[in-house]
Formats: sequence, structure tokens, C-alpha cells
Amino acid sequence: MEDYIIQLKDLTKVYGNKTVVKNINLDIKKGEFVTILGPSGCGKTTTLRMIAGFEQPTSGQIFFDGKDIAGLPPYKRAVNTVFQKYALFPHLNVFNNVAFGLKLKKVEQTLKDKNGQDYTKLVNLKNSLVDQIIYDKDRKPTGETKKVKYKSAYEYREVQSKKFVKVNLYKEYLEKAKAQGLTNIKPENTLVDQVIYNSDHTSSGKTKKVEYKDAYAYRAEVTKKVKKIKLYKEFIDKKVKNALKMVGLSDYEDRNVNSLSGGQQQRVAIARAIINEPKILLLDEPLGALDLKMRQEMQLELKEMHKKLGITFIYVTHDQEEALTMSDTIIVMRDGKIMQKGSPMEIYNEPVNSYVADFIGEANIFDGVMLKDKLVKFCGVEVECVDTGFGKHEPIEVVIRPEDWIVKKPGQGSFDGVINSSMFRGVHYEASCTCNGYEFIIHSTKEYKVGQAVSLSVDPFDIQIMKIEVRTNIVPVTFKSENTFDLYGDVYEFDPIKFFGTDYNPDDYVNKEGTVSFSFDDVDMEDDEWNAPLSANVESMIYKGKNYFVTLRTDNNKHIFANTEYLWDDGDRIGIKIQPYAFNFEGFVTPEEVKKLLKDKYEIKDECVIKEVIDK
Amino acid sequence: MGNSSISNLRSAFKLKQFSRKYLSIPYGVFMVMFIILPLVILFLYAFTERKFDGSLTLNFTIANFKEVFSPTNLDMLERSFKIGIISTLACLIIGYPIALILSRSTLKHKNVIVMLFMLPMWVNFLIRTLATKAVFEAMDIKLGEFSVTFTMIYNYLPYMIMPIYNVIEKIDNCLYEGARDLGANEFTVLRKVTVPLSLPGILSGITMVFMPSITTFAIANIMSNNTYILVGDYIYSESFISFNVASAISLIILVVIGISMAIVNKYDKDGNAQGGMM
Repeated sequence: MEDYIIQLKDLTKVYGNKTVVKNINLDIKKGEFVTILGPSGCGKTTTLRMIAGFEQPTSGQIFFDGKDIAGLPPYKRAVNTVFQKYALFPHLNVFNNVAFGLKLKKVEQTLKDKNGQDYTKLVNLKNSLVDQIIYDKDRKPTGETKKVKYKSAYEYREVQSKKFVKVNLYKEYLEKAKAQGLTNIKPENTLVDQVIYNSDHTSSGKTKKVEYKDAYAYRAEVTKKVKKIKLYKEFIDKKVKNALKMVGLSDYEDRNVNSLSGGQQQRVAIARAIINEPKILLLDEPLGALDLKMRQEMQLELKEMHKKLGITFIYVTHDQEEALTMSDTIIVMRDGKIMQKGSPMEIYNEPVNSYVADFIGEANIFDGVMLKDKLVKFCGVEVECVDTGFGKHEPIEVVIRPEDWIVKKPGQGSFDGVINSSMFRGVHYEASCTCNGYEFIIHSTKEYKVGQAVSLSVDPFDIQIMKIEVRTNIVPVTFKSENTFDLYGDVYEFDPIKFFGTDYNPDDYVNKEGTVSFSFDDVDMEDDEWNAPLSANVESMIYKGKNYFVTLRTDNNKHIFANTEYLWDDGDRIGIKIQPYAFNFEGFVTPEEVKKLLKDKYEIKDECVIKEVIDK
Repeated sequence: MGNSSISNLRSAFKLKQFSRKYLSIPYGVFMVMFIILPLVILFLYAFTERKFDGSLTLNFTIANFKEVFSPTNLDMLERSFKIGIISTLACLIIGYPIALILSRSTLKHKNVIVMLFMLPMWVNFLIRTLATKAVFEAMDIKLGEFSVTFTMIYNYLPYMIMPIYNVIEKIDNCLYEGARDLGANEFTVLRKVTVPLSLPGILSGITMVFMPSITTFAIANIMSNNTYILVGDYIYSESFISFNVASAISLIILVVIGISMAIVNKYDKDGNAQGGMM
């Protein structure tokens, strides 16, 4: 348990009616380089901002070193952020930008109270570590300067205060009071003295008489003196120079931040964030604005810096290459949920679903069926694999990385096909091969000619089999008449005999709510959203050799899935038409029933998906 | 043949260069006629003897300045600067928080509120001042120093709010987040980020309030029933008697404002005061 620096428990963030982060649970170890990877709008930045304290979670907890920090403002968290837009202060030069956090730092200090007991207190850096030695202003009447060591400004001040208490006038006052028979003597700090002798003696040995109203005024004066001490400046100077050296920007202290290049600005931003020695450094797409060369160089430097500093890095990016290069652990997020957490190798070789496979690297993804243990059928061919534990004839998805294909002479492999395109990509050739109507992408160091007949096979270990999350569209409806129902505000016809058998009775279901399903193939996507009953945004597309599997988000925030031959773009507005009589009746709705249905029949385990369907 | 074509080219090039310069001529003429010439005339009037028909003589004298520095006039000058400084400070103290709150608020109809603050500026200056006077009289408040100062602040407040509002609105939100991230609480963010970054706005606000509030005329006259005379009104009335004395006092004010603006602009290191006058 102590190994975890950050733990997220059921973290949820809702903006208006949109849930951006959905019940995230995540443990991050000390010293890890963790990358949160996902497309824009997947909730990765929001998660980071909640850790930094800029956003408050709607529900759930964030534990930092075992303590719940939800509700703590950003300035009280031992976490620093490197922003995408750098966020450097334009009115300060490089030095002061880097020193900004240091000057505001508060540190714990052990002090002695009146009774000599130790106690700790949070004090400003300026007042605490400051000075190892300060010169006492006390001079002897002879004019000699006494050199006295103090640990800190606080100690100095305390000694001064004590001295002040010893001032003769106070004693005299006490004596007078006693002589007059006064019993209620005021506390030291207020009562004291209308006039006290300043400890500063002039060099001639004369005593200078300085008036202070009371102990507080005297102490304030002492404090001012302490603040002037040089050593604080030297400390800041050393620290800032170290931080700038760390990012390779020595001798840039006096430069105006606006005169620096993007890469240099980013380095200043990093130096500024690490100067307070945070336990976690948060990086929000810090390399997004840099060009390719610079980005690659910074990736290596960041990795190097992570090693040197030994602190936890949480890095947010949409660039899968960046994630694979730098991270110890990658967290793939989509739609506010964590899809997969694992090392770069695990994520690449064993993606849990087609979405992760498609997002990380290039992949051939196909629909398939598990015939039995260690035997899978896809693209019309039965192939040996190593996976077990699936149900008989369970539909699954298959991932094969393009570099894993073994190209053989025709007839010698599992998939016979013809090369239909070939491209030189620098390190390898990228060829596309059509087999049984499916398109296969091959990466190979050898060149294959267009039109060449080949046969492909794949090592059983290189076939990654993934469970399918959703197998059909399930939507709630309200029956309106004998053969129509209302689906998200539009009326569709259905075949009552197909739904309820030949002896159906409209009285049994009209005005009742129910659930229907329809397959991905029965969804038509239209260019013209106004011409279709439902409008939606294309959320993601996955190519499956023959067709695209599209995730659509309707305007009422529901998911509909479709298979299409045409390529759309993420974010495209489209209209959805569902083919008439494509519907199957799944039952009259009661939330429990649907839940059971979804879980049993379609084996959906994700509670969020279920909740989305049930919430109308 | 070759030679002549080259010289042709050259002259064409020269012409092209000149033609750009010609574009600045209207502005040059404008500057000479309306900025430099009036200043020269002002200067001449200030240092020459007075003639009763108001025409210019070329007899040098400093008598005009002697008249300006009479004890009553010195009082008046002091009063003018005092009012100018007080109303500038008051505008800053009142205007800065308003600008800050307006620019940082997430209200839907923020622009409407900003417009409401600007709305009095749409009303004619004299009508507005007379209306203020009517309000003071209706409330039975004595007209004098207070009513003059109040009207100044009321009139010039928008000139303070606007530049500050514009500057603060342009500050990127990520700078605030950066500061909070580095350990600054809300007050420190204000002190170390917002205020320094809004300095150009503050400076142009000060410029835009301080200058007119010193030299304004009519406000003091109307709002004090001519019992509390400021330098603007003095110059106005003096211009009927002696152009020379009026010029002398204008010249003095010009110099004093010049000095004070130089001091203010010294704080604006980058020289990017938006809408700044100097």
C-alpha cells in the first residue's frame, strides 16, 4: 500500500450533462513514469487536472501518499505541472520564472518554544532556511561586533524577543508594581515598556535610545532586519541555476521568456516545475507544440530527467509513439474510462480490445469465432492459436500486427491472396494483400510486386484474441400502436408477429416500454443528417479488413454501433437510418431485467455501458 | 542602349521609393498645422507682451509668468493638481476591482454589464454634468470641492475601467493556473501575476484620467457654481482677457503633465501601455 503515491478511487467528473471521467480506479507507484494515452476528449487531461487540483471531482477520491487530497487547492499539493501552453509569466525573465515557486515555498521547521520543547511549524522559505549565520546586531559598548550563529531567521527573532523580555525597564516596572502593591501584572508582550534601550550601541560606546511602543513593534523591527539577509538570495540563486542546468539552459537566466524558442520555453517550464522538488510531476502534452526532431530529443531528455530526479511522472499525450518510447506504464483511456493499463510491451502485444489495438501501432483487426480452445476462424479460414477459455463458437476479435505475417509461396500458408499495393516506408515495405475479400496489411523488409500471388500465415503466438464488448445495439423503446414504437423520439414500424408470435394482442404492449435490439449491419449512415431521424457524431472507426466498425454518439448521448463500407472521419456529423423490420424484441423493460439480459445474453461486463442503456 | 535602360530602371526605382514617402505627406502637413504650429504660437504668446486686441507682438517678456504665479493662481494650480491626483487615485481604487471582477466573471451577459459601465459616456458631457448637479441640489448637498471631485470620478471612471479590463481579459487563464500550481494562493496570484500583467492597463488608465481631470473645464464651474475654480476654467476665462497669460499657464501645465507622464511611463518598462498617451 505504501508503494502507491497516487490512488484514484471511483473518480468521476461531470460537466453539465456530460460525464467526462467515469469511475476511474487507478494506482500509481512511486517513481513510475506513467503515461495516460487517449484521443482528445477521452478525459485524460481532466484526470490530470483533478490530480493537480484545478478541477474538483464530482465524486470519488484521490489519495496522495495514502491521504485523501480531494478539496485541497493546487497550491497545497506536492504536485507540479508542466502545461501544454508552457504558461510562462511574460513579465518575468527566465530566472524569476524558475524562482517563482521557490520563493513561495513553505517549509517545516523545528523550533523551540518557551519551555524548551521542540515543535514544528510551516514557515516561509524566506524566513526559514535562509541563513546559517547571521551577524547579530548586538554590539558591545566597546564597539566590537559579536558574531553569533543562528540556525534560522526564526531562531534569531526568538532570541531577540527573549532579550527584549529581559530589558531592564520591564524588571523595573515589575519592581515598581510590587512596591505599589499592584497584583495584576500585564503579560510581557503588551505591558512592557514605553521606552526600551536599543541593543544597538554606537561605536563610541554611547547608548542610543530608541522608542518602541511595545514588544510587538520591537519584534517587527527585528524581523525587517532579518529579511535583508543575503544568504536567502544566494540559496535561490543556486537552486535556480541547478534547475536550469538540469534542463540544459545554463546562462539563460536574464533572457526574456518571449525571446526563447518553443523548445527552450518548454525547458523553462520544466525547470520551473521541478524546482520545488514535487513528489509528482504532471505533464500535460508538453511536447505537443514542438516539431518532430525537437520532440524526439525532448522525449529522451525527459526520460533521462525522470531517472535523475527519481520522482513520479504522470504524462498525458495522444501520441502513441511518445507513450511507447518513454513510459514504464501506459494507461489507455477512451470515453472517460480506462481501457487498459500495462507496460508498453503488454499494451502493444496483448491489447484487450480492438480499440486499444487500433490506437497503439498498426494492426489488422478482424471479426472471428472461437471454434474451440486453440482454434479460431476468421476471414473464412481456421487457424491455430494459443488462447483458451472462450465459449464454444464465441464471437471474438482477432489482432495481428502487420510485421507478424509470414509471407510464403502460394498454397503454402493459411491465407492465399494477391498483393494489390506496395509502398516503401523507409525501414520496411508496406504491402496490402487481398485474401477472401479481406484486406491484410503486411510490413516486410522484402518487396512484393503488385499482382504477385502470395500465401500468408501467422505464428499462433502472434494471434491476439480479444473478447467483444458489444455484439448488438440495444435500445429502449415505447410501443405506440399495434406495429409502431418510439425510439429516441422517432416512430419506427415493426413486425408484431416477429416480436410477439402469431397470437399477439396489441393491448398487451401498446404504451408499454420495452427493449429492442438490431444488428450493426442494419444501421445506415447518411451524409445528410437532416434527412435521417437520428443525428450523431462519429466517435471512432476501426477497419476490419472488409468494413469499418463505427462507434456513433447520438445527440442524446447514446452509443449506436454500425458496420459500414465507407470511411468517415472522427467527429463527422451523420444521420442514422435503421432498416425497417431489423428489430428484435428483447423484453419489456424493467431495469433489472435489462441488466440481466445484457449481462447474460450479451456478456457485457462494463457497468457503464449498462447504465447508459438503462438511463433514458 | 544598355546604359539608358539601366538608368531608366534606376529612376523608376527611385520614383518607387519616393512614391512611398509621398504617402506620409498628408500626415506631416497635419502634424505641422495642428501640433507643431499651435505649440509655437502658444510658446510665442507666452513669452511676448500683451496687446489689447489680442494680436501677437514680438517683444519678449516674462510678465505673463509673473502674473500666473500670483498667490491666488498658485492656490488654484495646487487645487487643480490635488483634484487631479485624488480623482485619479479614486478611479484606480474603484475601477481596478470592477475591471478585475468583470473580466474574471463567467457571467453569460458580461458584455451587458460592461456596457452599463460605459453607458454614461454616451450621454453628452455637459448634459451629464448638469444632471449630476441637479441630483446634488435635489439631495441638498453643498456644491463645492466634494461635488467637483465626485463628478470628476464619475465622469472619468470608464476611462480607468476600460483599459484595465481589456488588459486583464487578455491574460491567459493558464498563467493563473501555473501560479496556483507553483504554490500561490488567490491573493498571491493577484499580487504576482494579475497586477504586474495589468500594469500597462493601469498606466494608460492613469494617463487617461489624470490629464483630462487636471485641465478639464466646465465640471468645476458647474459643480461648484463657480466658487471652486480650477485651472481649466481659469484658462477659459483668461483667454477673453489675455491670450498671453492663458498661453503661459497652458505651457506650465504642459510641462508639468509631461514630467508626470514621464514618471508614470518609467514604470512601464516595455512601453506597451495600450492606449497610453505618451
